[in-house]
Amino acid sequence: MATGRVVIDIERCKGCELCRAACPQDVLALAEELNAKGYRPVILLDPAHDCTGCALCATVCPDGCITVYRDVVEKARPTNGRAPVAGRTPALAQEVR
Amino acid sequence: MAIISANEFAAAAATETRREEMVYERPHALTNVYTHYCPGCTHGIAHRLVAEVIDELGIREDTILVASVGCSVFAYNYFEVDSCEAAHGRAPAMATGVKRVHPDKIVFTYQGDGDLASIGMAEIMHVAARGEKITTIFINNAVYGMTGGQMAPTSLLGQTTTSSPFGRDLRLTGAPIHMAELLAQMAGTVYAVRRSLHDARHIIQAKKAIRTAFEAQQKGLGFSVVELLSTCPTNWGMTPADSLDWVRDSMIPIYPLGDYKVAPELAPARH
Repeated sequence: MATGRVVIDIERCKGCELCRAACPQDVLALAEELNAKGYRPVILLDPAHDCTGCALCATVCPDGCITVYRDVVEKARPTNGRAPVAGRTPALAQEVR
Repeated sequence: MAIISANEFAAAAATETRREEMVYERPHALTNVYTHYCPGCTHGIAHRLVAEVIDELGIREDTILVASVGCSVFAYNYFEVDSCEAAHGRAPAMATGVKRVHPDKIVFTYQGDGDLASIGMAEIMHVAARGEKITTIFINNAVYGMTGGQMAPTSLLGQTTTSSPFGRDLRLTGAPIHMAELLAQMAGTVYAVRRSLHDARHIIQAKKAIRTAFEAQQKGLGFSVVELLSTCPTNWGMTPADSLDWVRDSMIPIYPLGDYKVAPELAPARH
């Protein structure tokens, strides 16, 4: 499963909770403190690192407060015992065959 | 107790840096001004979608917004594009003038249902009849938002508003007006669709429609309009989440989503 995180502009957030309703991983919560406008902003509460960076919260956010980052996973390809060929093109593969 | 220096700490931190990519950020075509919209108002989503499309098409320097009257009256403060403010309902007329003077610019209006379907009905119909090469983003939330929740031409039958406290009565005030279908009848319209903003899937579909509408204008085909079913949690007297459900359960059966007119030239661009 992909992992990620969100950064929330808490001064811009109005605490409408649309992102909380959209979040499939349930990692967003309302802060106990108020922001300058008097709203309880949404914060990322993700101790188990469940956020997948799916960006559904940012898709529904009416105020554009959410920036989403997703971790880049370096995929280790199975090599079947051979040395991996870097940048191999289909043309080259035909030549090898 | 082991004490590590700041340099050692930084080196240790550097060895385990995670690589991450930005998946979503606030579109650059929006300014940093805090909007005046109520919490959960889908005006903000519509603003964001239009701004994302402007960013994707790379037309921020070439786009002119004609703002309307209504809750979206301050749209010129929120979009990082050149803009002007029209009299109530006259945004399509002003956009006609702007587009005819600057035929190489992308001109769009952003209007609510009170502005477009009530006082501005004449202007929008004639723009569609003339086939002016502008784009209209039409926000339909079934109520007059700015003035305090009065009945709009798009209010549903039986809907309780501050000026229809016993529900909208068909015999007294008529039936809701279906603008997307109406504008699709006009000869100059090349793209007339209705989308909803009530969940993530429909928001993504709405963005594609807005993009197609702007592309129709870029191709110089004619008038394009996207009607967006929207919420007004404050005047509906609901929480933001409940008002999304109301759009899904009450508005969409009356205002069916769909493509009412798509010019053949635009069909390949639609997915």
